Amino acid sequence: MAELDIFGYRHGSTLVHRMDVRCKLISLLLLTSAIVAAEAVMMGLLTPAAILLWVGLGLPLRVLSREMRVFGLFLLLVFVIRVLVTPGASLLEWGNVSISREGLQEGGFVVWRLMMILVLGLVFVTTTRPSDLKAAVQWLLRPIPFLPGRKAATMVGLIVRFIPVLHQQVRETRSAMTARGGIRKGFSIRRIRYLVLPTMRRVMLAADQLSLAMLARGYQEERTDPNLRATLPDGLALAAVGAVLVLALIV
Amino acid sequence: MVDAMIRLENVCFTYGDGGVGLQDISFEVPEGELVVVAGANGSGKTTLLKHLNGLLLPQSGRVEIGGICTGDDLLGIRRRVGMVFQHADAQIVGETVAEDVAFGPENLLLPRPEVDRRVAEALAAVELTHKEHQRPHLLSGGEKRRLTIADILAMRPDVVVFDEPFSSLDLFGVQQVLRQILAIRDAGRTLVVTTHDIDKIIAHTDRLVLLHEGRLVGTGPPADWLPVVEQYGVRQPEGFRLGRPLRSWLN
Repeated sequence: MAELDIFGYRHGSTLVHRMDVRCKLISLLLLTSAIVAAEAVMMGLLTPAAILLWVGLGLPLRVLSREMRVFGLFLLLVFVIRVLVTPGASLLEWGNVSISREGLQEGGFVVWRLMMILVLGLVFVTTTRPSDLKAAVQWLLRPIPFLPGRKAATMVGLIVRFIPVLHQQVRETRSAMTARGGIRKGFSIRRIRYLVLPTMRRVMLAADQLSLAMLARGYQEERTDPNLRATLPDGLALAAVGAVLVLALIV
Repeated sequence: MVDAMIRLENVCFTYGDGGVGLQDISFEVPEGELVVVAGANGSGKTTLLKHLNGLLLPQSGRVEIGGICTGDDLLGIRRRVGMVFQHADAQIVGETVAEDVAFGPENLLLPRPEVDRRVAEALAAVELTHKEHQRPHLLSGGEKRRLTIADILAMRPDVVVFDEPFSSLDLFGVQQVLRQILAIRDAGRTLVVTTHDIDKIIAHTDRLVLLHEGRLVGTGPPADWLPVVEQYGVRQPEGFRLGRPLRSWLN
């Protein structure tokens, strides 16, 4: 079951765990902006800081590498595209395709930035209770007229809830296929059809049962509000993050 | 003073595909009784339970809980009747154990401190306090079942209905769930339990409701109906079977 534990909240009592979710969300946005604006020198400072933050939260580095592997294909794709579309002095040519030093630098830098943003995103997800996440969504959407913030927050919660269900259904369907001598490896339309259709059917059924269970427990849009309270340490943390952004813009 | 906590009068229900759910079901359950609804697969047990919680409404006839017709106040009925579903995974809404238990009280619009108090009490009652920050899909089958009981306890309903509470549980799981069921009964609540395996609970049952193909075969003290239950696809309790030769010899 351990593989189902990615993208999930891990209980802890560090400052980041205890931080008000709204401040945490704003900090995430500010730090993401800082990373987007940062040049190599600043990135060189931010990277060890991010790794220290990860370790300081009591999260093992192997978990970080495991969770990064999930995005491996996406990062590779971004790298290849940046290498191919960035003009510069050609290092290697193959027909119309040319690879330049600038392309390699640009591709590497973009992937570096993305990895940093992913690390911050993972820090946010692993230190934030899903109920707080829902509360943050609700708080963010409150000023927007005609947008049902409570409903959107519940939907976010249910999406998070359904990730492990989806994993489990895929695994069970795959095991059932293999047990009956089904197609074990490789890419084929038949394999996808046998995997996707039953999985989707089971997920739909699970969603139907879940909605019944929610109704049975008296679900309504009007519910007890989450408990949000920002304190002085939250304000100080936010100020520190703001300083990092200013520094990134200057350096 | 309401003499019957649950009252069904000539309840009929047919599913959209033409499948018969319930046909002309009438019976009463006094407050504080533990009732077992027994019958073979497809006899209408789950359909009956869904009528008690207001998830289904009768197409003809009446279902009353504490004197209130289920169709008149759906939300009120769902607050008074807690339903524990057969598949625990289908009932779990929260991303952590504590969040899942809080879902019901939050629907009751209780103040946050009261929600937290009820969550703590319910988790203590099912001995899951130490798992409050754990993700529910990582619990064992027995723990998940106890979590679904805590979900309902936190809402403090007058009536608790269990759909096949012992299915897919090992001996320890059955013992723990049975202990919870008896504790709920001892607290003065009315309980309705469906099962096709009555052996596990019959010793504690006040009343047996026997269903067959959507019809009520009979209702009354278990001793009156145990001799005939096997005709309707329900296995007789082992003790009753073993005592049969002795009874016939005595007769």
